[in-house]
Amino acid sequence: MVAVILSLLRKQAKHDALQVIWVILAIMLGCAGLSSVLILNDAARSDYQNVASHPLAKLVQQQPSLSILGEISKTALPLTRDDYHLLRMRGLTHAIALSKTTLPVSSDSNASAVTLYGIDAPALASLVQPQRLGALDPLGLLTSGVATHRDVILAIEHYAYANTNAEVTPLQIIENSHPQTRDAQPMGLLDMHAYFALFQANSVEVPLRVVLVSFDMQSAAQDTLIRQVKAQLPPDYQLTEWSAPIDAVAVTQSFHLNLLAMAMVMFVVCLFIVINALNLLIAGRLTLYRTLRQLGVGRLVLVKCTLIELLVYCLIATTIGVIAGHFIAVLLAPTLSLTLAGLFNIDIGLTQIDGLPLFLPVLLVTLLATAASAIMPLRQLTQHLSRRQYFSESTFNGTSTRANRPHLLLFTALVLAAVTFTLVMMGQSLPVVFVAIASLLLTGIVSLFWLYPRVLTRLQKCTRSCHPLMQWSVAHARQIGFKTKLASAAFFIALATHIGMNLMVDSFRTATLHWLDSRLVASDYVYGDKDSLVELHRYLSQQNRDSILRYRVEAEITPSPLPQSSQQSGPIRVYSYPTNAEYRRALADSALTDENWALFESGQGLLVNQQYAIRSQLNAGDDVVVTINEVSTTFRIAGIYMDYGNPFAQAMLPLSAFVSSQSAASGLIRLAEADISVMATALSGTDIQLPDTVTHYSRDEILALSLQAFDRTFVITHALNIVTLLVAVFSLTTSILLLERDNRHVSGLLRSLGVRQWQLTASLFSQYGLLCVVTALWATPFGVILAWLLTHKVNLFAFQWQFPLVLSASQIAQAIVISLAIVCLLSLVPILRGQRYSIRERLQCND
Amino acid sequence: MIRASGIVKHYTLPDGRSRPVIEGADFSLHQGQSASIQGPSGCGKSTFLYLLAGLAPCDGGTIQVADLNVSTLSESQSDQFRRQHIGIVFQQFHLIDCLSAHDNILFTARLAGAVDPVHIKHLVNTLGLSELVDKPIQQLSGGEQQRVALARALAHKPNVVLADEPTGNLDEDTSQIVSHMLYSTCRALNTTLIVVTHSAHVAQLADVQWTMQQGRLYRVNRDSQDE
Amino acid sequence: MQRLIRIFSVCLLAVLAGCSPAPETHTEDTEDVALFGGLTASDKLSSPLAQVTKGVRLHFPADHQAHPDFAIEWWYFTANLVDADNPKRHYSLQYTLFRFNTGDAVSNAWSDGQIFMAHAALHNAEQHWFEERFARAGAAGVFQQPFSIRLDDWLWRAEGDSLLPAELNLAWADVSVNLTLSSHGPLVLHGEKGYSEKSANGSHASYYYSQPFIQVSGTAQIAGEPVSLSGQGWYDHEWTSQLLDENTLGWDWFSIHLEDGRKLMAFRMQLRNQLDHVTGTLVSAEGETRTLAPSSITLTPTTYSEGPSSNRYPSEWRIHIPEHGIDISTQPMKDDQWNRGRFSYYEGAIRVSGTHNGVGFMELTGY
Repeated sequence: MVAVILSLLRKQAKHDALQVIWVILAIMLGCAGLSSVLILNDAARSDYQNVASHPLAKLVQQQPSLSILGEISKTALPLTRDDYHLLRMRGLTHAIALSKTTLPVSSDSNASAVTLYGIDAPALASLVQPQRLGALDPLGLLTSGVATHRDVILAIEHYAYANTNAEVTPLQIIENSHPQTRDAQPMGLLDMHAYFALFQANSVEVPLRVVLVSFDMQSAAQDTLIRQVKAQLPPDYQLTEWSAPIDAVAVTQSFHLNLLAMAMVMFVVCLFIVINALNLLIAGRLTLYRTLRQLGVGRLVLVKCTLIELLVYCLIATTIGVIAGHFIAVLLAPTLSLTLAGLFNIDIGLTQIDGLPLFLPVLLVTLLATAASAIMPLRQLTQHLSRRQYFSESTFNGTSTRANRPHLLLFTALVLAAVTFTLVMMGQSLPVVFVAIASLLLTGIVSLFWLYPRVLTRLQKCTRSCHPLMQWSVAHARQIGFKTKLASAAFFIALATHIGMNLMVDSFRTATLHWLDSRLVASDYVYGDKDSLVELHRYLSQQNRDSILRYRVEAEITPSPLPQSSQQSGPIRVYSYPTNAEYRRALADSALTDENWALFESGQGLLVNQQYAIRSQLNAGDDVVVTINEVSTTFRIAGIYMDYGNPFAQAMLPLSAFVSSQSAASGLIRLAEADISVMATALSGTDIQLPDTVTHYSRDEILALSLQAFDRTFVITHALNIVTLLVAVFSLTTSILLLERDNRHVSGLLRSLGVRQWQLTASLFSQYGLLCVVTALWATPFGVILAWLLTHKVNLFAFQWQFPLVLSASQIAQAIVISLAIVCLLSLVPILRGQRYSIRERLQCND
Repeated sequence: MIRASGIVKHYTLPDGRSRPVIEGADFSLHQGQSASIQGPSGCGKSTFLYLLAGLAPCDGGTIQVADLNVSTLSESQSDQFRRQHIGIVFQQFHLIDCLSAHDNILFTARLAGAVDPVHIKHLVNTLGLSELVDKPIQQLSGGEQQRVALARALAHKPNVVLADEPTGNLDEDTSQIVSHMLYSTCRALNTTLIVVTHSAHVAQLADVQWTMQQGRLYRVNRDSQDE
Repeated sequence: MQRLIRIFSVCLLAVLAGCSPAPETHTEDTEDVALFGGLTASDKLSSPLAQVTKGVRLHFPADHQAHPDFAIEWWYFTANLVDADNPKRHYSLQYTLFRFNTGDAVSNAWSDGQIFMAHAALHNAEQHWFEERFARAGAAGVFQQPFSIRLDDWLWRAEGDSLLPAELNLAWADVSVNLTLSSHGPLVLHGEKGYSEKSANGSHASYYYSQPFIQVSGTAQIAGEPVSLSGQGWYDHEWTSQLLDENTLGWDWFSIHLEDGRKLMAFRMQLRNQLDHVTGTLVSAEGETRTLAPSSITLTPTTYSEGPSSNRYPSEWRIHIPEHGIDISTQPMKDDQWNRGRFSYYEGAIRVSGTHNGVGFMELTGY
């Protein structure tokens, strides 16, 4: 019998083509999102794992004795070139600097991207003993890099000439005779200097990593080496062995968490669509299901066959979805790569994903999720087709037939509001805030369910004496509101989060812009190596041009006395800061009193950034002990300054503390030991030739670059926001499609009574529009509260940043207008679609 | 053989109240006989038909159809009962749109796992459907569709055919043709037939006439309209 | 092509004989026998680089630092040491830092156009520990305030800007040395106040000075065994752009501590199509220098031995300086004192006998 019904459903599917496509599309959307996230997440993780099994040994094919034993990193800060050299000067000669970037290839290539590695070739050559040299000495990288594919050369040349006219190291191709090479993606290996030159001119930061390499070592000797390295590492460094895969989450925790969380959100929202799409499909077949029941087909058989049908749709949708997800990942990877390189100093490369392993987990998740989505519609169907319901006057609408209970709703909403308020007030951690956000959104949904009928009741009272069509409209609107709960809930969530996120990002941007604007005192900024900057500073001084050197040193800062709850977080960077009046004005947002500024000026005070102050529970006036190069000095915190976008703790000391001194009194940092990173100077209007070793930015360029980085950071958020909103809109449209079926005979009746088509269209449109408008307007205050939570709680707990919330009416209005416009336009589709039925057909459509 | 005694059935309204439809109806019919049930709209005659088919449980009384106590069947037993013993003809035909006429006819036989090509062919010929079997349903007239529905109801050789206003959607001429076909085919197959109808003409074609009034069934003599 | 010439590996070839696994003996008839195989044209090094010219005065401590505009430079330390607790046990130590100008057009944080190579070698009677390392500026170089010569953790660190006194700390394989260096004599400028001519026609020359009066003491950990060391050390610092071309076939160099306190540097340069150019410097115990003209010193190989690649090389020599009554023979303190780096060369301790006794070091390239 199952075979008979399946055969019937197969034929029926051709008749229900639109509904079937809708279901497949809904599942496909969820699959595409999930698989693209899995690909990106996997690529980020394998960025670390790949290097382990990686080209270093396989690419330099004649050196199979090379092994990577692990990775050295700093616990609190990203590694710099100077850190690397310090490690080598401590005798860690097996530590080799490595960097990896992905470059797109030109369109006439088969590959989508090439992977480029930079390595400290001289350091590597030190490990490779001459008597074991093969055909390729790492020193050969100094003059010509190595590629396993011609595309690498093309990609480098294209990148170099397109962007920078950078000089390109000639590359030689090595035939890849190792079929076991994990990456099928073309790759190239350059000496670090040539690799760096390729990106430096384009101001692209290249992520630096330091790996522990062994050459021609037995495993026992490798173990000994690892032990020795661990013992030799400075306190704020760590070695992560590669016998166990690196826990990339530890380095990019928020990235992975973010991606996964957003994928789950999108998948869950897609479930809404799947539920609605299934309702649409089932509603369209209700007559058939009833007939089959009458002919003796059991409910379970119908459910079973419908589930089998869904399985087929899942297979189709998952296949397309995984392929689509791969392409989405390919599209997003370059943008993500830049964002991650800037934020976390890692590079996400695209490795060729083996389709099958990805397909199966996505299919499994999709099957489970679709089965879960099908529970409600199928449950409703079986109830509808039960013998007990045979003569009831209910119609199938995919929702509960229980009457609306306003008091229960109101009570629930109030309780949820109280819970939200309590969580917000009492919560001191990120998870609690997230629960508060969920509770807030739930409050909004439940209160919307309570509110909407109240609005309609009020409207109904107002329309009694009006046109009867309007009376019907309002009464019908009440009915459809009841039937579209799920979809309007999804729309509410999407819009509220959209408003909240947009307001938060906008406020952050405003705060960042304002902060940058005030902090960028000089007209020009120059970055480069210490010697060049010192030389330039000297030269400019001779030219009577204002310039200031900015010093940087790493220090251990300990509150004094040490609070019980405080934890030592490792060294932080301390920068020099001038004490001129204009630089004081630049710190206006720090609310520095004259007294505190004088303290700072005198060299007894320290300025700390907001992140550090919050993490270490410090306030202005607290004492701290600053230890630099094993010399400890007590300072008083003179002020706390804003430092948006910086995930790391930071402090500032007056310039005088960094000036070399013969007496080398404690608290003073000798010039030779401090790194110089920035020089602020007035270069505008001069034709001073800057050496190649430095990079110059004007103030406006820094502003533009910073805002670019800011926008790039949030591009993913924006994209996902829009996708979620579109998905919710899609869900609402599906609901409206479902309603259209239910309304067909009513609309036929109204037409038969003489109501004109345009009047009917306008009435239906206004009903759906009213639902959307009420949902949108109700979502707005919740969106604003959400923005406040994101600004004052989430940012505070996650990054220790605080900035004022700017309520932009235009932002809010824009979000509402755009989403409403889309929904309303889409709602016209089913309305207009219903018009193709004749009045007679509509009247006969009575289930 | 059909015997129903003391049948009670209530409707549950959306607000939870109960409305009685059938209150203590008795009915009996021999195998191969035909019966018609008339009555005013909303009196419960269609309801009674569906109770006989096991489509809904009764709230009281017993129904025996071909030695089966339909009123005590579980849902799956009731489904099996309908597949094997009952054929239903609906007022609105309830044919399956995506199947051809021939597939519609075969459908019940396939469900019952008892496809008899000779029997099917006989039905098709008897009901004048030879030229129409391969057409899609949408291309058939009302009368043609109802004949297809009738053939479907008989394809699996049920013991009982229940017809709910079989001519309700047909014009008078077609109605006469279909009703005659219905009675004669069932008679020829020795299939018990119960027809619910508003049409006196259709009702009179039955061996036995019943009327439902105020929730009860009353047998109507040929010579008298009252009990 | 120009870039190719200036590459580091070519410079390495240019520095040390032996180019590939089988260093070639040089004859005037063999085209590619040149010490600097791979270096195709001599003008490539000379054209953009600073030139050694006569009459330039060396200033100290400034000239202890690197001279990056020159093609090549080295800071060379050798020491003849004994076990302080058992003077019969001899050790010889070498620490050398080489700088090569790669001529890279682009300078950035990872390259300033220079590459460094360092060698550390220790001999005892039975064993030889040698390591070769490479690095760029940042992890290698010569620094001031205080003066230091470093590559990774190999470090010569003076107390001030002068060369000495200094600490020398090296560790490689299962050897580590921690030595204190001090001087008891002045710096020695070779040739004409540091302008050292290496060929008769003056086409090959370098700036070259030494500190031969170095006292060494300290400790070492050798294969797990602690040793107290003491002895004499010799420091060379030389830089040039005119030493390495297709005509340079190799050289033989000697640094000798005579028992009477004098120091001798003797040098034979082998050039294509030219007679070997011999030069030297004799330094009195008080630090007075005498430049030895080619006519006043002869260096004659007296015994040949077979090298690691079956190459024949002169292992024993006669050094005759009639004007100063020096007629000495040199014998290696042990067989096989070849440094097997990317390019093999001979660097080892020698014993001196004859009219004068002493110890020293011999370096042979081009064999």
